Amino acid sequence: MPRPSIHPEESHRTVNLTQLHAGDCGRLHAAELGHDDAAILMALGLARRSRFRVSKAGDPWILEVRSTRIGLADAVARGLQVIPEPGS
Amino acid sequence: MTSAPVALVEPTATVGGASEPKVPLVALIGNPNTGKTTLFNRLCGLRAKTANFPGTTTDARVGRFDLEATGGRVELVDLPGLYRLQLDLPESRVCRDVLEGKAPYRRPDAVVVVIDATNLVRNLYLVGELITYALPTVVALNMTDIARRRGLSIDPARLGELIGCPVVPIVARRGEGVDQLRAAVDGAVGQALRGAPAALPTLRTDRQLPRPDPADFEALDGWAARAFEGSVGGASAVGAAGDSVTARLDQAFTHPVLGTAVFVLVMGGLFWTLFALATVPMDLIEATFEHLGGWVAGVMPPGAIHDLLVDGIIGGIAGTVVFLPQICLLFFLISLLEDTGYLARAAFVMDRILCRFGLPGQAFVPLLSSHACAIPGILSAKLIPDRHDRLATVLVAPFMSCSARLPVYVLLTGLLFAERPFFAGLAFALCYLLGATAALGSAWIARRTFLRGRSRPMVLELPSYKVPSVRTAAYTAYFQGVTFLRKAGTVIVGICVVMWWLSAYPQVAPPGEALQLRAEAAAAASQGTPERAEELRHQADFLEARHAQAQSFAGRLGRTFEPVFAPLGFDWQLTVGVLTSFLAREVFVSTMAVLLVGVDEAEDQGVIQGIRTAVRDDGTRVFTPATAASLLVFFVLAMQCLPTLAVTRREAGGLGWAGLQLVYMTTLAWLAAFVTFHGLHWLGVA
Repeated sequence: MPRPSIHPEESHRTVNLTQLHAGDCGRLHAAELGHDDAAILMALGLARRSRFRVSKAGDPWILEVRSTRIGLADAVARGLQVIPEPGS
Repeated sequence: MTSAPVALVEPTATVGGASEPKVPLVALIGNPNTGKTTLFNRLCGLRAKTANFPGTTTDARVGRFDLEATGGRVELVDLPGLYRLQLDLPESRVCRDVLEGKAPYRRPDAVVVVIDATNLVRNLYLVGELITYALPTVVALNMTDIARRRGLSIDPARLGELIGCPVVPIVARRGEGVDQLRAAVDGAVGQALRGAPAALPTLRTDRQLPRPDPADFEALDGWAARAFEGSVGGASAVGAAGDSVTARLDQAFTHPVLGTAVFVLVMGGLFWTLFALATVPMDLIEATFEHLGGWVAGVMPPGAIHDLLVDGIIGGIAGTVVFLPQICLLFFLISLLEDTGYLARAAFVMDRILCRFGLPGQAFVPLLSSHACAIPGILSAKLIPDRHDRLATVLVAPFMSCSARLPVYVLLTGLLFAERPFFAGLAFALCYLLGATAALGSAWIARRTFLRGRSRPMVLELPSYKVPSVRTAAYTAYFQGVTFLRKAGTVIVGICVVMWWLSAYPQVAPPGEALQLRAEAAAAASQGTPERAEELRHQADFLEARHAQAQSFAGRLGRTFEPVFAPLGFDWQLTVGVLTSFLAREVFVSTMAVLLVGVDEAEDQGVIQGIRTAVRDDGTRVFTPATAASLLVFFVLAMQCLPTLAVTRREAGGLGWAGLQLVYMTTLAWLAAFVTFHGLHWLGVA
């Protein structure tokens, strides 16, 4: 997945998805994954800047992106850099 | 298998023959878990066929239903579920090729896209891509009942205006809205048949949103979000997953401990149900074919045609059809489980274990199913999306101890540990463990050599839990059963006939010793000693059967191949047993009974004792402890099931994969049996 063209300040706020907890919200900043995995994530609605909520932390990670619940193996979660956001 | 449904491909794009007019073709497309297959079944019922998309192992289902505009029927092709057309995945490629009418496919006349009303924005990505294909398109907005329960009210007419296609709200599970959908499809097909300009979409309104560029995800996402917001009354409605029950259940079902416990319970229940319920129809099928064979044997005069019909064809068909209840029931139960949404969670539970061996979590269904029979196990590997993951699973699935191995395990563990049931039971359990270890170990090797690569870390949509559709499960079971009978069945029956012929021919005259015994039996009968006469006839039968086996092509093969198996401790008789059981493993037991004792059944203790004490040509025992252990290990690991090889060839997409499976498993079995035999000798257990 190409690096996002977002404000440089935001990159200082990025953390690994695995640092979030259940109930936390965030936006995807970058996905350090293979092409196929990144493409499937995008097809499921988790693209750069997509807002998500962590429904379950730990393997498997479960994210809510709009109405889609996406299960991620720990290896995938470790490849996702996100920008934490206040919960809604 | 690369045959395709006739309506799907050019140039034979007619049904029933070249003289019939071309039947309009409608493509049914949608994301996974949108109820697409349920809708297909609603529209077409049993008027459907399953084949493969040409050059792929992806299932293609084509059915028919009636429309007014065409004055008759249309063909409906159920395309594989996919998230995006642009992805470089097999299902996306097949869908793109069909929609573009790329050779050998025929371009559809219209498209029905099924979308999930509870997950509208993501489902609209696919619609946004589809409308660039300029085909008359109808949107089936499914699961509107669940959306309403979650407080989401969608205006279909408004949505249709925004995206430029007619939108029909439906509840496919209950059949609601299906008549209206049929009418909308009628209009779209009529439009295509009238030769309306290709520059569609179907509706044109002032409110229509500008078409997005499918290659620009942000533009597509924005388009879908605007269409959603415009049809539900604003952005405030966007964003809630809104299913707290699903969230709570997921906490339990994916938990490392609780989730594993639930998984064991669910799978235990599934296999208990499978074994408990399939037994009745399996027994019924066996009894029916026995009666049929008996009836044919009664009305036909003895001879080659009689033997071919009774032992070759009827026996071969019975040996194939007997698996049908297990296959249908397994797919019925898996379909129910899949429909509930649980399978996606179970895949994550098993992924923690299987990924260490290079297999994905989804491989647990094929591997567990293979404990019943490797054929449905391999067929269910279709659930695995990645080709390398799927191939690795298909190749190792036959290592799992199937029900056909059970009679062999019972016989050999009984021979090994007579009067010691605890050790016999332990050996029995070790056979299962050895098979599973070989499967996982072989997958590990495959993923580091010719199927190089790790299993793809799992990324799965977790659909909302829902009550499963029994109707959909029944259709799935029916179509899988028909597919099994039509494709694998033809190959399997052919193989059975060949194996019967090898075992039965050439027919030879009875040995002189048997003739002498029959003469003595006749004399004993005339002297009023019927028990003695019966005993003599029994001995004559034994000698004749043994002589016939020894002189048959299979018997000659046994002697020819004896040097190959001699290092494992097998003589020519055991070699015949091993060779004939390539037909099906359980044949080994009846072959041993015929060859060593002279009867067809090896169930009563007298026969087992006869097998235990049977001798070789040099007078030594056929079954020493080392030989029995070596043979047991060989049967755990060897690829002795030609029907399974036929299914592997079909599902893996080539004869080479079936050949690899045969050579690899047989070589491994030979080596392991060799080590067992000589290891036991070295330990002083001869």
